[in-house]
Amino acid sequence: MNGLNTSEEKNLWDIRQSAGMVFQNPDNQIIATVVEEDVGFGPENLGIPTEEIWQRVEKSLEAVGMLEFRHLSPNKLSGGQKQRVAIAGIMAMKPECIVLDEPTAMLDPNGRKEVIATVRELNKTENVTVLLITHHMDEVIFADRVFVMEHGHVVMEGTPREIFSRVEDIKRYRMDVPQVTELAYELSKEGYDIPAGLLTVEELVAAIDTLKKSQK
Amino acid sequence: MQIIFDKINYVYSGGTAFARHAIKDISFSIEKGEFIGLIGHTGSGKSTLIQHMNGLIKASSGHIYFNGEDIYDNSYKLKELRSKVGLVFQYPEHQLFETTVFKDVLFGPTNLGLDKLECELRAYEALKMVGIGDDLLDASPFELSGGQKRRVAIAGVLAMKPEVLILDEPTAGLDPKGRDDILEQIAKLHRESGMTIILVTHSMEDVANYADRLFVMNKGELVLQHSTKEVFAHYQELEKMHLAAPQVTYVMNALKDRGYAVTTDATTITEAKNEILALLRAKG
Repeated sequence: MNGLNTSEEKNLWDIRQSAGMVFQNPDNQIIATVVEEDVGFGPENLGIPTEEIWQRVEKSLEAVGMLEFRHLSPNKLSGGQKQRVAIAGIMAMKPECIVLDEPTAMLDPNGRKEVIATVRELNKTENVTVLLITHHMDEVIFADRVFVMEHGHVVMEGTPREIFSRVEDIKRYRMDVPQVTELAYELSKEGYDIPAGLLTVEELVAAIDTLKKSQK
Repeated sequence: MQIIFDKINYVYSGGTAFARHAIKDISFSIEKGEFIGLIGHTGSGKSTLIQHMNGLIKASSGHIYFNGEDIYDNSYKLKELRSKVGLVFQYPEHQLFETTVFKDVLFGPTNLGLDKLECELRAYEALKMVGIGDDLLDASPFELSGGQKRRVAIAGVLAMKPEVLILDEPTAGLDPKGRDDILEQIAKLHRESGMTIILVTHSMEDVANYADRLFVMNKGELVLQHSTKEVFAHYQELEKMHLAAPQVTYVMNALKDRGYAVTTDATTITEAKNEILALLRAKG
């Protein structure tokens, strides 16, 4: 991690400052009774001056779109909103990297969308490195690179398009591909010229459209 | 009709300043042997609703009938209802507690007061049904994988021989294969024993594959109760309720928007594939 060896204990504090983690259950990682105090907990522990803590809290809550909830109790928030507060808590420590361990496993479709959109935004605008662990294949189609693990080994690595064009391999590793990718794969098995590794509804519709027009 | 809800209302902390109307005037009936999908965003009242079905929560007003009997009658035995309506909570593996898999599953039937042999037969049979092999009977439940733990927890409910099985997000947090395994086991139970299944889920793809009818909850109200296809035809309404249709439904609608003569009611990959193949084979 930034040239620091994680197995040396003296490095751990510095490493944890630059790589924040978000976990699966939103209710296990919120500790304060007010949203803004929860977000301030991290930087406070780093010994940041009070004035600056408040600036960071405001900026992080704004970055995850939760500023208007700053004075509320976290209990009043939805699961997706709680996860965004947890992410803001990490952002307030100004990390270079965020590791998210199944942050959407307990959320409804809307909560999932919120969290993934927030993470993508932070990656783009704040240039934070994001490592997203997930069972939802449609959440990784925007990733730069995908790693597939099996029995403690990395067994596949590549862009989402490269990974998801290998439907049979993916299934062998107990994984799945997005529904559109599988539909495209099924159609290509029937002998139609549809490119492998299609990832979105738009791409599949465009491919069918092209086929149809070439028939004329 | 096996389960009838007649104008059920439930108010949390009724009569206080914190009163919250969680379930509003809900009526429906479920036939024996149906497979119902219950969907709705977080906080829409799904979990509160299912806890009414086996009497864990008592409605503030309205009546519930199980096999024709009013469960709120003074003479009605709620304890019996709880063995007939099995409820598998979210993350049921958190409730495993015994030293071996077999003992954990025995707990339910033993509490029903059945004799030892009957309990053991039921526990054995229930573990078979969820695909847990003999080699794991004496294992500690805490040594199993996430998917296995969850299947043991479901076996604990099945050993009570319920007529109705309610599962609250049984696949949350499992990998895709673990998810498919559990859903296949549930579908098999439904096919082979005719058990009524009520599946609460956030996954539209799961209910599209398995459910006959869908109940859609929004803000404590039951807003839609139709066949799966009819519900997903209302996908724009679903989106307003923070839900969605399966991805393939969007593919079919997008093709139609481009002027192709396709039907848009496909909700599974196989249905969409057949519809698109027909389109590609048609001339012009």
